[in-house]
Amino acid sequence: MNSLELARWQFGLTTLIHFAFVATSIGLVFWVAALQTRWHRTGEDRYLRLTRFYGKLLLLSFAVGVVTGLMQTFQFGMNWSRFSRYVGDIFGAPLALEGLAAFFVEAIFLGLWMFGWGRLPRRLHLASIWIVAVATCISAFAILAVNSWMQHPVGYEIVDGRAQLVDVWAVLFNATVGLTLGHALSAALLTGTVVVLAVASWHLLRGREVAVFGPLAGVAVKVGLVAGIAALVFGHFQGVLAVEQQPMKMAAAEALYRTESGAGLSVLAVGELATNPGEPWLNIKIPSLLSLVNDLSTSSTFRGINELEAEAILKHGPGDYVPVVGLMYWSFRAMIGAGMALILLMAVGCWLAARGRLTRSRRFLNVAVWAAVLPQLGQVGGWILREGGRQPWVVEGLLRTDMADSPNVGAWTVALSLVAFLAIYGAVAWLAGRVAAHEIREGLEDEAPATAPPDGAPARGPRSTGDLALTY
Amino acid sequence: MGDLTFLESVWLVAIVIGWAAYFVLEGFDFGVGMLLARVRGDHVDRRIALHAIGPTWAANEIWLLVGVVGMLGAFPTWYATWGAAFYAPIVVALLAIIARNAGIELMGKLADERWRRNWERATVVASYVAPFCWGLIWSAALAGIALRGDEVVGGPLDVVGVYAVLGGIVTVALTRTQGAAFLVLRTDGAVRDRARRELARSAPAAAFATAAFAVWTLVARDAGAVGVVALLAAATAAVAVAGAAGAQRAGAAFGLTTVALVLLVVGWFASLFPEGIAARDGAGIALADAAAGSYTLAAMTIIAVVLLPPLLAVQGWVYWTFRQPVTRATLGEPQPSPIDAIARLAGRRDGGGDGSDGGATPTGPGFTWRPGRAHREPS
Repeated sequence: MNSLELARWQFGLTTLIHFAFVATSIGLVFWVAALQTRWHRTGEDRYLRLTRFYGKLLLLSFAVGVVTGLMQTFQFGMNWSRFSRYVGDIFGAPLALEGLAAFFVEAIFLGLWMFGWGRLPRRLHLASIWIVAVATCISAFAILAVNSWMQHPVGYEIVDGRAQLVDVWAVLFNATVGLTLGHALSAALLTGTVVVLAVASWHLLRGREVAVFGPLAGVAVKVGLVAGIAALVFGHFQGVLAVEQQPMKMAAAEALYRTESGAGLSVLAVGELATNPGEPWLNIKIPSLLSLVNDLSTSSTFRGINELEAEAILKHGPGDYVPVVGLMYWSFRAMIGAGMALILLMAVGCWLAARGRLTRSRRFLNVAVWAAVLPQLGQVGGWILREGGRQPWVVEGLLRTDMADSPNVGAWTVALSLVAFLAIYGAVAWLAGRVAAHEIREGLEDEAPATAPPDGAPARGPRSTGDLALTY
Repeated sequence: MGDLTFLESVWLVAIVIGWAAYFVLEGFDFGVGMLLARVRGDHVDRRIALHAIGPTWAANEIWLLVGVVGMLGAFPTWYATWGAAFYAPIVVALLAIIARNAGIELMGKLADERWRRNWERATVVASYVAPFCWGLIWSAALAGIALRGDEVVGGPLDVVGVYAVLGGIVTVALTRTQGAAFLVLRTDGAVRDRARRELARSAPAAAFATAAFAVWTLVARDAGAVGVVALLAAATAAVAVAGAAGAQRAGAAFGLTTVALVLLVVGWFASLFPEGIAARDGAGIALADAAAGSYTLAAMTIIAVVLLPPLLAVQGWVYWTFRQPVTRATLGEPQPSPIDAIARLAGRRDGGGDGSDGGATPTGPGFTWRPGRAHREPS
């Protein structure tokens, strides 16, 4: 593999790992903030215990999210120097916004929240976690705005072979950004909700704290259903917009080679094992459904890969303009499949809850525990489609990926750093996971304080291990 | 400034401020990390040291991103060349920061001394490595790298020279000294005594290294007047730190190391100016050619002007909120915590009302803690 391919692997893998923790954190922070608000309003112990319990999981996922995210900004310069030069002008304002309005605010107020138990006025302490929640959304907005610019560049002009910003509002506020943000945030809320539900189900299966986790699971399935449907709706309109803005991506996602009127939705396609395999051997389709989903007409035209490729060659000169079709096709289906499965799960949960059987249905609770992997599958599929479907472009129609890397960085340099980062990401995720598993097994803090600290250090006094887990 | 436009100058200054703030604020966090094993007798001491930086270190770290994102947005070509040229030390610095952050976050979370020891080792090593790499990178930028046009040529370790290594050592020595002074100011008891000893040990080394670096720069590098003055002043401050440390004046030592670190950063950038990275032969990366368009700079300036003052105010307020020294007593004695609130609530429910308006209703800031009946340690 050459340094370009390795740099792509490095960016892809580090981003996917990073995002897994980011989505979990964004979802969980809203749960923790909402639970603490309930405690603040009602004064009921169970909400405080839940706040602190899920707060520990939030802090762990946040910590891993931060350390895995640090790499991303630096990667632009290290592996993608020509990309940095090309887009630095566009990225500057949104990333400055992210750094100042999101990262700073998150770091300051998460520190206040961790160490502020009992030291800050209660309202201010509650406000801290809400401020963190809002900051995560600003962060998502800023980074999705620059990512959307790579899908659909606007508000720029090309000066000396570099994109120069001429309209920052066009970059920050357009339909592509809005739909992407809506989709990503609702998917993140769904991810956090699935974590909340899975942990609650695990305890319910063991009959622990049923009076606390039972009602929580009842709320979680409702929130999950709403978040899942929101992600689906936003995602649908993203797809419709992408057919217009990035038709090649969507044609690849459907493995649709020939332009069709009244195109069918592919359910199962099998083709040659190649980046661009050509017409699939086997393609089971539901007739006209793709056209119907796309613009509510059974006879509308859906452009295929062959036509789009010919068009691209006319416009940009000879070259290969087709993404890895099989990967796009299956990533798309992994995302949709995971999302649909979660919506179904939440709907069944709501039905059980309405009949008062949620906490007693062992089958549902078992499935809910394992469902924790589904949001991760969905987000991996979603990001591979979004970034991979844009190939060979890194900035759609403007900058090719093979013209964006650092030309003089050797393959060995990238390979070694790739191995080192994957090793440390893996180690940190594994060890943080051990702590998380420990905290989940420990369960809620006792209502009455522990009388003796478990490791018997007298100077630790009556601080519980729970307190410790929230700080250091 | 030079042939930079007004906004370009503003952003150059902002980037210098970002890096200086990072070296100063994260400097003592790294220093505390380096000294973690040396100032502790037992696990509680370790927690005291960590709690001294606990509520603030994560925000301190963000200044690195201010410096880096400022470079990417305001001087894209500078950033692009910088990232590719210093690939290897940046990778090592980031790995170290990841290990250090994970160490601080995870060290206390399992009640297992082996787990804590291993994380402590990782944190100590990483706290040395990260500032060393940043110091090495900027000293190497001043020493000059092999460039062809805007792109770096040569192997990833070509940037590591003796001068650059000395720059890294200066950064480590200064941050270690600053961390020791910080612990003296923020802790009490045995931790404080040990930190005081470490301060006296670190300070002369920092003074010597900084002076050597300043002299080498004057002799061998083509530094401008501002750079020369800044580096000489940094060396003077570092020597004064040694004096203050000898006289056991931790406050003065902390202030002077802070000044020395700021001047060191200013010295690097001022010596490089009007370039952002020097070339071994010929012209380096000229900042004026590396800058973004004025529209981007204006947009970034508005964002920074609106957001930075409140952020600085809040960061300062956080330091003020957590200004009390962290002591064995504060960690050991019952802390005001929600556990106590629950205990009081439980006590009231059992009919043992404590005769005040305590319980779940907050009466003052936070949970008004009174020595609880329910969980007093049997002494």
